[in-house]
Amino acid sequence: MMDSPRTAISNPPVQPMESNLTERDLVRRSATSSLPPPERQLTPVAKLIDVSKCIGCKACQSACVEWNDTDPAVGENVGYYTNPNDLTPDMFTLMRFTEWVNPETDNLEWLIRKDGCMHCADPGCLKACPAPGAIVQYSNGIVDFVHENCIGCGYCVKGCPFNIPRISKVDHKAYKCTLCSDRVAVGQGPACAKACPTKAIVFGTKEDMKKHAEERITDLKSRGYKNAGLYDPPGVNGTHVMYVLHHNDKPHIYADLPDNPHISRVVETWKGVTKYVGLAFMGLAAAGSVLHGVIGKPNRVSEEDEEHAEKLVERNGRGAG
Amino acid sequence: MDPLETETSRFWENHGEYNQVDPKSIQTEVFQLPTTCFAEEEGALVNSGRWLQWHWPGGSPPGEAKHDTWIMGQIFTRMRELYRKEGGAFPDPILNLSWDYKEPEEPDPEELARELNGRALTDLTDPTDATKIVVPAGKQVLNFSQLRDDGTTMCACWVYSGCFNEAGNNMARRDNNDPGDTGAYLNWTFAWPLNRRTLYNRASCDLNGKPWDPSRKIIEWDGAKWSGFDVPDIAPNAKPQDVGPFIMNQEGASRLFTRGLMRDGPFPVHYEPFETPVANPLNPKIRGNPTTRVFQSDVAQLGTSDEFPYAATSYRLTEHFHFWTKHNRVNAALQPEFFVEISEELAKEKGVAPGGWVRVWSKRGSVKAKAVVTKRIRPLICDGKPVHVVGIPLHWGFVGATKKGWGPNSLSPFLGDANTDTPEFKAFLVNIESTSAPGAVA
Repeated sequence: MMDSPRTAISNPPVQPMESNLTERDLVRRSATSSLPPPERQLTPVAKLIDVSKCIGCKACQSACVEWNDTDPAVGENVGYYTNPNDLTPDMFTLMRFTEWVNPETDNLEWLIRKDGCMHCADPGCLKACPAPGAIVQYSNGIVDFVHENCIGCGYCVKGCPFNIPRISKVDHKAYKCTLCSDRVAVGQGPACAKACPTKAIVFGTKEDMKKHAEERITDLKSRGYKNAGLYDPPGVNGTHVMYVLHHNDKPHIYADLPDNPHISRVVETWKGVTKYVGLAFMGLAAAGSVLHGVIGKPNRVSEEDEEHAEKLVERNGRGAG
Repeated sequence: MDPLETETSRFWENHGEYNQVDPKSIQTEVFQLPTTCFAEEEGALVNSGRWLQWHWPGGSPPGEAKHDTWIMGQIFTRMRELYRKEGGAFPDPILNLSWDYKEPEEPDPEELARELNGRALTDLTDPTDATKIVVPAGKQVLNFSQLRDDGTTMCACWVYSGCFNEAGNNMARRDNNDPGDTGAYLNWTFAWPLNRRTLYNRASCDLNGKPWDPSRKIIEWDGAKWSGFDVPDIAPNAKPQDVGPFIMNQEGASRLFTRGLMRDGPFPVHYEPFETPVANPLNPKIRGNPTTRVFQSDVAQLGTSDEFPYAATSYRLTEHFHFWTKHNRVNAALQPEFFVEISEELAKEKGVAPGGWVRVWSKRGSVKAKAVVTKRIRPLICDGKPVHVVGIPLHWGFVGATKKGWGPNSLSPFLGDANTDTPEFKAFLVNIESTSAPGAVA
């Protein structure tokens, strides 16, 4: 049996192949405590997105739609090049355009970041997911949604530090980038990386991608980008989608890429041994909330907080011009 | 005949504000014959490197779409039949047209390619030895060197000759070996003319025929003839001291200026566009290029900067290819709607918000578009004054999968470059204001 693919540019196999990603290769399975350890360790893979080489052509978005056979709506122009203006259940990846004036040089820099699932080594979505087997992690690092197990609760959205999953209004299931797990399973790299005309998106083993990133960072530093660096955030134990950023000291300028992403504490507490205690607690809380509804006043503050948070999200989304 | 719907073929159809016409008053009858797209066809794609790359169909045509060759074959054979039956003033060119295809109703792409290459109509003999037959009648010529101007050969396009000779379909070759690592790839498809990959490649050698850079040899003079990794663009035995690389010029060298070929030659002079917000600093009294061909009625349609203070330019986006991809739902989702781009300064001046509707109009027309407000277009300072620029991408119309929109051609002038008549779509004058959505009552 073959190991993980090393590149995204190889030609597809001409003979039907067995999938290389099976149930036996899972290292994590949502809401499952008794997962047998995998019999083998696949070489970890990664997609590296070099933001400095991206020309914003959206070929990756196009390839993603074609390969995953999604049906994105023809939306409207809301004043920016980012189209659609957010990730959707039918658009797993999105070029986010930011016009940023570098205060040091007064130069306009058009920052174009390909947004999508980061495939965290420590996946907040999976940890938050209450549906057994709806979110899985393979030993090569890919975090995948298994739609037949998804109950559409949206906990993965709350669990994700990067605000990636989107719930379909059609089938009420969560969707996101699969890192083309169905391609990787037969030795192919992701469709976006294959389509990228400047090789701003490359794919291979995580180790190779880190080495490639080092070369790019050295090059960028020699061109004056002294803070060029690799975005592989430790807060989620690293990711299997990484960025080369020319300004790695301030990821947030790239359409609000989190500076230091981490899984929300609510999700972390819910996970692990505390989960069962938590479940019991939730039962109590549910009972309590009934009582609260009877004898207490509605919790206004939390609603306002929620509204405020939504506004923030909306504003940030719009701000990505 | 078109693989896709176009605004031209639907000009008679009312699309509200986007195409405000009365179909009842239009007496033109339109026949639309749906054709196949390149991916559904067999044939050659020719790139800017002059390669003729043969390709095979990757899919079946949708619906009633037919190949151009089928449609042309059907029309021709039926017309010929009518002329045969009914005669006419001079039916001979139609009745006697060479149409030697296995299926006259649908010529085969390979049959047509063989005609591009050309063949001998009678036995071709060696000019120095009449007993020696070079190309027997009916055989393909090797390349255009065997063509004759006495009616003994035929060829549909001499520069392509060599693409499909007795060696077979050279355009279908897929050998990616590159001896010498020169990038020539002589056995990959066929390049016109004569499979030559670099035109004027003798320029890569010095006066003695030796490569300027020996590590990147393309061709070389060995004392008796030219040879190398590419097909030499010079007679094989022309001495390097005698013949220069630019063989289409008598002097064999390239020219910095030309006496006769440019209407505004010999040296280029700066002229402002016909519509400009500033006077030409070199010739303030001259409007545009005085040697441009322009119709009087179009001069009357030129605006001035008093009425139209902003410079407009048109361009394409990476998400679309001309007017084709607006029919594709994927591309349509990536750039769904007609927009114009303006600077933050102009947006502020005009009270335009990002994503808001604007009206842009010139002396010739008016369009409505979404506004993209960007730092990428800054006001230009010309003659000490700020000149605002309106950027107008061109991929929308009233047919297709995208939202309905206009094209910049509703605004641009009917003028061409003095030498090539390339339309002056990159610089003209417009005005802009905030407005309501198309169709909405203002």
